[in-house]
Amino acid sequence: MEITHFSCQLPDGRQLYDDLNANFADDKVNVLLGPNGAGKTTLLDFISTVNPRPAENFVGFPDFKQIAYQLQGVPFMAEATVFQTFKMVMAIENTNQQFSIADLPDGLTKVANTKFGKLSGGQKRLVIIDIISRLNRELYLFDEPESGLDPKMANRAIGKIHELNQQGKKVIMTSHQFQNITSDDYNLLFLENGKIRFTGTPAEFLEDQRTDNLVDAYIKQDGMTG
Amino acid sequence: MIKKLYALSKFETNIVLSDKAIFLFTLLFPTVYFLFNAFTANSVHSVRNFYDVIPGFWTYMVLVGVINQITSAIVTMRENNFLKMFTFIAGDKRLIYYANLIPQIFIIQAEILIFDVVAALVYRVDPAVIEFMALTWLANFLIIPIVSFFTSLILLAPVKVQTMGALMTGYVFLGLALAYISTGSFALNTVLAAINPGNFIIRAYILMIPGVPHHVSYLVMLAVVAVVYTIVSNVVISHMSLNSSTSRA
Repeated sequence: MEITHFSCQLPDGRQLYDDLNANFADDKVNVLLGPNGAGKTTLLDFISTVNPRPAENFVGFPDFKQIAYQLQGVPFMAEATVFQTFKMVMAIENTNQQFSIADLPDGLTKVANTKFGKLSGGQKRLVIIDIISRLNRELYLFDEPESGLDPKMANRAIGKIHELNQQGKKVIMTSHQFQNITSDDYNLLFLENGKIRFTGTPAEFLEDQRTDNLVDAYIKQDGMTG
Repeated sequence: MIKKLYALSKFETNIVLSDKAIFLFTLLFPTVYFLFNAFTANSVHSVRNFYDVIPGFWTYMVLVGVINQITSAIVTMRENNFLKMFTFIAGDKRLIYYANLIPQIFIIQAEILIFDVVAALVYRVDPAVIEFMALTWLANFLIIPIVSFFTSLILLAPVKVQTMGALMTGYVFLGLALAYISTGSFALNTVLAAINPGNFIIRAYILMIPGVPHHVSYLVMLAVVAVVYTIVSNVVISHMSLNSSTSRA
């Protein structure tokens, strides 16, 4: 999957993407990094076709029906319980198997009958990530999946996303957290000022920025163009 | 496709039935208003009066039910990004629309049925009127989705939730105020039925009143309007934006 020579101007006149080129690795979890407002979520909206996706700029991406997308705001029906939500998704996925509370992932069984609106922000995110991971699609988009999660839960969420990629699924996620994306199984893409400024593994990113800490590398990269 | 629609409709039904407030506008208000009028002085409970008055109440119930529970509900879902999330899960935004529409047809019909029982008791209706009530009630299974298709055009506009209430109140008011307008011109009547769902509903009900001459031309006209809206609406629903006009995902 690649984006070639993509430019986009916002209605307020700001140039969001300026001849942007990006290469996404199929066999790695692609992580879009970049400062707030750089256009990471909007890029996911283009990839997912929520925003019209120009075919000449977006090459090799699957169509809408083959994309699962976890939105940053974790919107869902506040009145539905966790179990009702999972049951509906499993029925949609046509798994032909009875879904019971025992089939819920660890940590969610005790909130099975809690309404979605009554969950904490982190619990909502966990539910959505679990739901998205159960959909059978070619490409999975996760917008800040670890946001609001405690370190253990963030680790679990990233583990799920990593697992999808290990199963041969293509994955693109955005993130502001680095503790879980240190191995060569991740392909980092640093987006800033309308362009991808760096593409490579975390080790290459560290080497590129001549540091041994990803947060420092991020700050250095941000400082170079920002 | 059918399995997905069934799963989504079942989910929607559970959610909708958990909020009893929906019965307030569509059932309670018109019923109270009807009873208030029925027991005040000078009210006549004749069959003629039934045919003049009751279709107006049904039109209100269908129009308000559709606008509040279907069209506004979809706009609200879009604005708080449920629609985007749901569409990615279901794989097709039309499924979300229909999953919302199907339970609402049955809810509005249940409300009309309760209202009809009250109206039948007040008017002490004869078998001919009961037949009329049954016919119109059955016709509602077609009329409600068609009215929903009428109002789906709103989904193309980037309407914000904040302005939706005012817009919809105005729409219902105008729709009802102009519902009974009829002219001597078939062409003008066609335009009125085509632009005003209230007028469309009343015309459909009038066609079922016993003893009223049945003009085939009007039946054909209503059918054509219904087919056009069904086609246009499906195009609209397929192309409606998933993006909120007010907030990002």
